[in-house]
Amino acid sequence: MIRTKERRSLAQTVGWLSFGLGTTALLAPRAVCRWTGLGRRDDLVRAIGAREVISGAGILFGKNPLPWTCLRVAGDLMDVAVLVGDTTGRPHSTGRMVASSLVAGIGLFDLAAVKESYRLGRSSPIHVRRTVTIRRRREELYGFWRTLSNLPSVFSHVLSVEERGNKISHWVVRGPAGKELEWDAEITSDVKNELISWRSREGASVKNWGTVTFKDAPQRGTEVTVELQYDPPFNLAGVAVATLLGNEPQQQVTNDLRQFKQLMETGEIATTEGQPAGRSRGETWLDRIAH
Amino acid sequence: MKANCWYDKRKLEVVEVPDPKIINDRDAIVRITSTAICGSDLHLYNGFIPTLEKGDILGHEFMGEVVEVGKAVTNLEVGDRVVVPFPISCGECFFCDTHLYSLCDNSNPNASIAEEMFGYSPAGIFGYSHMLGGYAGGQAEYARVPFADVGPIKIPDHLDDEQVLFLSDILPTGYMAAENCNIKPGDTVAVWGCGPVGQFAIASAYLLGAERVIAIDRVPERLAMAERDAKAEVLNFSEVNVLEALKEMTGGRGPDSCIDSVGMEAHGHGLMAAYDRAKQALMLEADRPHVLREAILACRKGGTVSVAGVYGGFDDKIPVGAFMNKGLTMKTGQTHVQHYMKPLLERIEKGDIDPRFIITHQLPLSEAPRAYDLFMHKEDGCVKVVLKP
Repeated sequence: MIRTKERRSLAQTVGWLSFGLGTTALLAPRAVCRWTGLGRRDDLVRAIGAREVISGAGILFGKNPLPWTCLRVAGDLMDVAVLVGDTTGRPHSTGRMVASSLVAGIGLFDLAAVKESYRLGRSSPIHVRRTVTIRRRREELYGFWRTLSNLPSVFSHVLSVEERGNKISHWVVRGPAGKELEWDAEITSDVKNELISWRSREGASVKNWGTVTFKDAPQRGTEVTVELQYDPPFNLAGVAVATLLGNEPQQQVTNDLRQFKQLMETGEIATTEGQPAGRSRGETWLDRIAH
Repeated sequence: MKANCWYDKRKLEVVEVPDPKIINDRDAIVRITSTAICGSDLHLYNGFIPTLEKGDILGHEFMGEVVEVGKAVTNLEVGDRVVVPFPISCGECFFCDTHLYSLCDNSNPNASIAEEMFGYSPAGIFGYSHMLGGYAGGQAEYARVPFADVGPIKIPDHLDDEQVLFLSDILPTGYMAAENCNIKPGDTVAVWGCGPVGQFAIASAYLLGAERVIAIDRVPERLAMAERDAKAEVLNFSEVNVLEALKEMTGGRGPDSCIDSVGMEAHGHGLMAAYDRAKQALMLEADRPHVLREAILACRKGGTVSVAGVYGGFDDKIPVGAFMNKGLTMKTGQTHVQHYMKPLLERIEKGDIDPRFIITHQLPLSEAPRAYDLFMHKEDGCVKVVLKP
């Protein structure tokens, strides 16, 4: 099942926080100094603000958030050093102590964000391979598949595939939270009634490839084997891509192929959506606790 | 429309729900004229079947008049009188093609749930939990019938509802159970359970050439019905030791085949039965397979155990050693109703069998919850209740 709410990644939250703090420091350094009990260190605060804004931007918009989250951790260490070591202002003011604790706390979040970014950068590709036997001839199934615009009937995450000639096709795919991802792909291998392979072209937002093979199943029809791979990119879009095929890609593709088989064999997809049931019974929580 | 809905263990209510609609082109809508409660409905009632949701409409034995057909249905017309089989079958997959209709590949929209439990999913069934499709059932005024070009069978006007209603499930079930015994001349068949399926299994065993049929139960009315109407020799298991009695009655050989028409809620006695009840209460065992165990032990060497009763989960202490060393065959499955409807309708028309003998009660649909209770406790001599919407 594709999740409908995109999980707010920790790094994203930290990125925005960094942005916000940095902007405050840049625009109102005097106020920050006064509040934290630092002396007249406006320039230093502005520099820290700039650093915060840069690392925030790097996390949110950069290709790889990892170095920027590391910069944040380094910055936190530096900030703690400044707050603790500064003797020009009021070192024992409440503001100073609160600020020091806050920065230390944020530092822990930043460490977690480093860990998450590292994991994202190292996340393995989504790879699925599944076979289904369909009681139709190879030619019929290959023919259906080779008309790529039919593929939304096969894969629930694919919204449209438009063939643009010369083996190139344009794919629109559903991501979570209603976002759409698009890329161009090309057919790399096409053996009539046996095999079709495709692969995303250079510059695709999500690198991916797929293969389908059609094999005779004596007395049973055709064995259709589908193999898909999605390589999640380095950045936070990786969170979106990880849920492209839902939490359990293998299950998603199994269900997709089951529905494809139903469509090919019976002409319809079995469903109970829209059927009656006695759901709204007017039972209130009062009734429930009375049981 | 009014429909009998499940809300909790032993909590059914007939409530007002929307009328069903055509959803797929091969659907039909049937206005239900007669519907019944199955022994397997009691497993739902007693909370033994998982994946039910509050408000699910129950019922899978129903018939009536076609009131609407989808665009792709050409074999039925509005006004046709039909009996609807309980398995929903597409007619096109490997299993439907082989007439194993209850194993249809394509009719369970929740196949992934059943796959978790069983490895592969059987067909969807009307009104029998979400694991088996979550289809709205037929204890209602109307029902949506998917794949209407495969399932329903047309009924001639001269037959009453009561004569043909049981083609939907229990008559084919009893018949398939007997057919699975591979009955040869001279055979003795033992049938556990004198409920409706058991009664039809007894009758079918004779139709298929059994020399003798011995029926086992403890409810006096049911034993009397088996003896008087189905012509069986009867054993009351609360009075005799069944294994010993069967051995003596068959010249020391044991019955040639054994039919289990009891299933997961068997009432046993003795230590093993207490063990089952205890484990069930602790949710450590899904079923009480007392009859299955006894049938395996009672069967003669090389014989067949035919299991019509419904089982759900992983059961304990099945005498697999006896099964293997006596070289038994076990045949089972949800009934392939569509395969049997036409030949059994012919039998009814010819007068070979009159299914009405098992009906003991008729109630309006609005009293379905009371009917379940009556059926469950076998009160008032209840064997089979027919409900009229």
